[in-house]
Amino acid sequence: MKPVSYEIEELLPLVAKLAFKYTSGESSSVSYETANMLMEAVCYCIGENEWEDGRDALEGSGAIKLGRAAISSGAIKVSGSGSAWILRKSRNMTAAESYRQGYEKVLEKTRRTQERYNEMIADFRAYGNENYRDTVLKALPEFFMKYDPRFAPQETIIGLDYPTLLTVSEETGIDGVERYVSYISLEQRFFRKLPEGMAEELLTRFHEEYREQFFNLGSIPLRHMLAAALLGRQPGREFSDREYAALREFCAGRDRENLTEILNRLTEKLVESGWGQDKELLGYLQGDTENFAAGLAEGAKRNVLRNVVV
Amino acid sequence: MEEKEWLELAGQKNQLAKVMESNRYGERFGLSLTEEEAKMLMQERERCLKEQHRVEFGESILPGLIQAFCDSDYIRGEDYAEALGRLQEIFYLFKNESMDLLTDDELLTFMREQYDETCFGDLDYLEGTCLPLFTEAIRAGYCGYQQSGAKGEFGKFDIVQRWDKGLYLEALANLTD
Repeated sequence: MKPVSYEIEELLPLVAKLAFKYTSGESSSVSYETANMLMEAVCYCIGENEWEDGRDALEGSGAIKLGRAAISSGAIKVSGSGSAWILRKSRNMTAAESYRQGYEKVLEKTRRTQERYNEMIADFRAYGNENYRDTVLKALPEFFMKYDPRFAPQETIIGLDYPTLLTVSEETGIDGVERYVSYISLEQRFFRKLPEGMAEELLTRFHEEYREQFFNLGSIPLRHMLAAALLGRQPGREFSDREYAALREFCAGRDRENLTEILNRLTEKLVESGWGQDKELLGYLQGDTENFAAGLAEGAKRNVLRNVVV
Repeated sequence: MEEKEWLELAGQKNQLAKVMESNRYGERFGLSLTEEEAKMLMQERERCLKEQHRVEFGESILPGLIQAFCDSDYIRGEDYAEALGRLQEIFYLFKNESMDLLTDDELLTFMREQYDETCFGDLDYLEGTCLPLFTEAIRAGYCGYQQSGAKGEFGKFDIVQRWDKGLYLEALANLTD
């Protein structure tokens, strides 16, 4: 079935109604900027209704969500501003009904994400890292305070400065934040099962001033554990010169793809042994394997593996 | 569809009938628009909206302008359409200049009051002095107009002392001497 878009004539009345609410009926006109914002708001909610998953594929075309999100080739028409008109999934639903349902979903998603966030921060640990702490404990609450699901659901508002192992670059608004909160939750789940003191020791070993740095903290103990598994020993103590040499030898004959595959399998075993059948956590941690593999390959080549894994 | 296209499409609704309906306000004061003049004003409206990067989804502001200004002593039949065209242009400009902080009613109230009491019908003065001073204050954070509905506001920003009681009494005393 050829993708079909909602016609502009179906969307305009929704934008007009929203503009009336936005101005409380006290202004007969709005600026282009406001009009575009409201059109994006309508598109965002319709997209929320039409596409459950932001990365949902339409007949393999990889159609995606709207607003300022990335555009998959040919699947969605793009206007000059980078906004996207929404693909219509169901031919039986009017734009108005799709918008109404989508708006309800945005509200529900916001409520759910805030709940998950509140659960997560109950025993959140930033290990002294300022960026981690500020992003999770200051920036995210600001999002929940300022987020406007009606007039600007597409806005992310805050900077998601702490880098997670998987990125949310394509998603905006509550979609982006929901995903981000889930990644932080998974990372905290990972940290919680580590032996007491191990995370801090490894972080300090990696960078004495890790508290002021802007890298992902979870990758440090994760890489240590994967490297220990490659060497066939228990994690915890520092790697010796001999062990670094063995690691180098292991990586020397392998390309990045092969190393990534090996690391993915090791990560699966690691998660199974420490966290059970946690597919979500596995998916998140495997977000680092490609980068780690690249680091190992390069580090082995230049004999600087101490900079890659501690 | 390009961004500008949908924004322009949003404004392209037939407003003519509504403008002609508004003649009932002006007719009591001997003011009336012909259909030709109303069409010209509609075209002017489109041009102004495009120039000011604004969109009207519903009714245009023209009926509101007609209602607000039709009983002004300074609006005459022979230049009624021209005056409305200027007022429309000024209105959209200063909606932007006020960063949309003024409601339509507040801006219309201010415009009408100053048009009569300070500008004595001079639209250039309204556009060049009263409104810029007022909207500059709003952009700087002034919000007293919200309580007053923008009535009697200009005195707070006027840079010209327009009437001095002492001077008036002195002049009066000189006349009677």
